[in-house]
Amino acid sequence: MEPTGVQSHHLTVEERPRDRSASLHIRPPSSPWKGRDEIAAAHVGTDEELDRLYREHADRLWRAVLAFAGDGDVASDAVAEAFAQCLRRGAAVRDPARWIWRAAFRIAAGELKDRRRRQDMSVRAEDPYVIPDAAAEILELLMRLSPRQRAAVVLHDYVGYSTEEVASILGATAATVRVHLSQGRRRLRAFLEAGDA
Amino acid sequence: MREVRDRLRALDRIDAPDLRERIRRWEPPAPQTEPLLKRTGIALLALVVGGAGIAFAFRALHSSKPPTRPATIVETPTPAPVSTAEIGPTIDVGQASALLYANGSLWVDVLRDVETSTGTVLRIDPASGEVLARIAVDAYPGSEHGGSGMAFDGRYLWVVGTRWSTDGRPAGGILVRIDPDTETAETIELPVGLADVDLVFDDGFLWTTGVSSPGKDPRVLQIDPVTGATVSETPVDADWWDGLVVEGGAIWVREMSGRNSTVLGPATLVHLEPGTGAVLARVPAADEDGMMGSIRPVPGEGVIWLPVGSELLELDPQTGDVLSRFDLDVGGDLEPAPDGSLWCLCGFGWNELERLDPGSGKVDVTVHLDRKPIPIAMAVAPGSVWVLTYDGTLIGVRLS
Repeated sequence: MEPTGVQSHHLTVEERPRDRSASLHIRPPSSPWKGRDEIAAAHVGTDEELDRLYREHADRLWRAVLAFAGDGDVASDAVAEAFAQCLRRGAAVRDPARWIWRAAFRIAAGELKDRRRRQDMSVRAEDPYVIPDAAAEILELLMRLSPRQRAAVVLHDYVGYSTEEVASILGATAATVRVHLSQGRRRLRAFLEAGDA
Repeated sequence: MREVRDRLRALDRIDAPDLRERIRRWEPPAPQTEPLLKRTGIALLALVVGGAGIAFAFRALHSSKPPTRPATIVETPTPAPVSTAEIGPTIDVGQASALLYANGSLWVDVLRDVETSTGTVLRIDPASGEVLARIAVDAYPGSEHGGSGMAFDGRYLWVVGTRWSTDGRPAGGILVRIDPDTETAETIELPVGLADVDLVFDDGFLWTTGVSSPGKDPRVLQIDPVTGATVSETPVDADWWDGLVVEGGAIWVREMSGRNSTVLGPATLVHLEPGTGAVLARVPAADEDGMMGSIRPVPGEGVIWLPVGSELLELDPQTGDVLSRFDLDVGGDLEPAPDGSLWCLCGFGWNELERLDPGSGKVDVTVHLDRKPIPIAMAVAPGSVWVLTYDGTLIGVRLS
């Protein structure tokens, strides 16, 4: 059962980048909101438009991403990048508000996944954001849910999106969102009751 | 529910920072690309190779441009070039099933007792090939090839299996939790009579499959890795099935209509509604000749990889839409790598170790392995790929 020793020899990797393109069929890019929001919303191309969009969405989006990620820096990075990427895309984005919500949650989810891969799940002690006690308590309880449960609860019960809208933001089916929402609420209620007891 | 909403309102009391200046000054992170001269060289070479090279050249020259898909924010990483492969070391591990690279180590479950189907998990240093630890476990997954049955949740290593009574009957599905820090194992009972080789970590939960007794009440179990509790069960209405994939919370299993065939279809990949088992979508899992892939579907980063006949399909896990098709004859195993590439044991004898770059659609690395003993599973570590053979040899393939 012990290793039988090193038996090394060199091989030359076959240099034959075979052409797969003939059998590669990429689906043409499409807007995730196509057919749903055909009404042309104002495209984000100027400071004025950005200010309007920012005033309407940024604070609530930042709090929602904070509640999802549990980290103010991740929330700031994700929200800033989502707005900036939307600004760069200009008229290519049909519904900037919805695009920004979706992008911010995707960016934050990607960062959380990277952290798990790096096993860097430490809480940032030097977090400069001022969090009142009641908010800190609910943030802590939310972090005990799974990422999908947390996102479903935050977007539905805090932000007020319908399950269909949450599904489009998270890239899931509405049925899946309903399950995550139900499980998340049940667990959160249990944590709240345990804390109040 | 009202109480949950009331408590969530406390979030409104948090002062959000003003990010407007940061948004205006935001620049995309610098892509990790080759120097311009090298990129240009790659592009020219690709142009010479043929028409298909144009796409590759475009990708190489324009790798710093924003992606074209509106919802895709993060640039797809490019696999590092490989020019040589060094075979070795080889390690005689014994009859083995599950194989995984996680937490900096290779983990392989080898058979300890055939009567009770218990195993020993070996922890191996991929740099030296040294066996660092041997951990006795109650579980020995039944994967014949593909190395399934083991998962890592970011903290613990998990192995699925079944307890067997002395008269050869299944006596309960189990999960074994291994702490990599202490190298100790703990067994958790599952609410099924027999657990299969499927084990996936997704969205904060472990997912596995099981039956009450052989062929009865098949279902997908969702397990909380913190408590070990089964938090949901999703019934599967199928005669015969395998290949659980859970990606982004979407549950898919591969169903076969014939009870006794693992090769001939028709087979279907079925999207199940969590909890109810209602079918949300179906995707054919066999080619037009009725050939299934020999390996189960595999989850990727936001996609599902489904081998079908001699093709590999990339699926959207939420809709089942086929995003891409690749001419790749996947045989013994298929493993996504962190750099976005896919490694497979391909070809008739499963002895062609190949790397597919889905971005360019090209197989850019092929390493010929011996046909005997047959390669049956692999794990991808940084700078090396490890191949398990049917006779219980673990072979390192170092890449540079």
